[in-house]
Amino acid sequence: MIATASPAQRAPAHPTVGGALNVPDDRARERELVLSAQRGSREAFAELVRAYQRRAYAVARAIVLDHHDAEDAVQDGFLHAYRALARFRPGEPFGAWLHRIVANAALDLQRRRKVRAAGTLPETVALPFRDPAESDELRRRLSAALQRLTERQRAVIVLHDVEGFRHAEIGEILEIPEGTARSDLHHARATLRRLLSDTRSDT
Amino acid sequence: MIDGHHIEPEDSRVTAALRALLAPPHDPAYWSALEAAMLMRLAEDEDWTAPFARWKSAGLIAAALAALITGAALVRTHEVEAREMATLLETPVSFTARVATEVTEPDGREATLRYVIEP
Repeated sequence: MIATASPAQRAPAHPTVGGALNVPDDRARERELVLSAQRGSREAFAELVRAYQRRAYAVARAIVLDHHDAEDAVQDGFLHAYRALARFRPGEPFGAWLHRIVANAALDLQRRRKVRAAGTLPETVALPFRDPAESDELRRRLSAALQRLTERQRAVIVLHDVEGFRHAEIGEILEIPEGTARSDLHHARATLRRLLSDTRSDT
Repeated sequence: MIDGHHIEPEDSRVTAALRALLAPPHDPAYWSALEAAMLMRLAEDEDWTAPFARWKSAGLIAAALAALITGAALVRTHEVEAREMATLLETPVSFTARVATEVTEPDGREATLRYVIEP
């Protein structure tokens, strides 16, 4: 199995794009797996799924926010990737390619479910706060504030702050220039800061 | 500073809250289940598209045959047209000249000859 670390966990000195692998041996192993999967090996593709599903989930969740929607987007993304595998060039970073596909699947899902009521985040992830009242209050305020961001700003701040993707990586995933990702992050931070302090002063 | 950005103390609190709210699940059993679900979807997708894959092969063979037949027919048509054109260019020249000669010589001598020959 390929050992993958979350960008949030890895050392910042590794200049990889797309949250891909850092160790050359793993790159070689990834290439081998991609080539096998392209030749029709289901087991090789399963190993790629195991290596990348966590980060694929993080990318999807940054866009759709909802846990179940993120799961659906990850599955859609892997399915699209499997169908398009013949068009993937094994020399390229597989992670960056896959993340773009998953991000597009999440955006499609988001568009399809636009009618869903805003401001509701599922209760599927246990929060590590000690005080349940404080946890619920912060969750409620943060959920409401996130809904006030644009779709892209939300994706950028979640990818950056939750998963630790770099601006260049975020730009590649969302197919926007690095400078735009940087600027979106700045505006998202400022908006969240303002909204959360407004809410606090109201209460 | 993180990734070239100045982080306000308030940002750190928001970041911590975002991580708590949106971090991927930690339980390995969750990922095993998700992987299994995905692979099942891939298998279903393959099962569903398998008949189409066979049709695709059959369709490609049929299309290749059709292209060969069309190509052969086109070559044959071209050859026939070329032969006809060659024949056309060779034969009608003398006929045209003869008609032209007959039409452009309405002199008195011919009229006299017709008068003698005709009953």
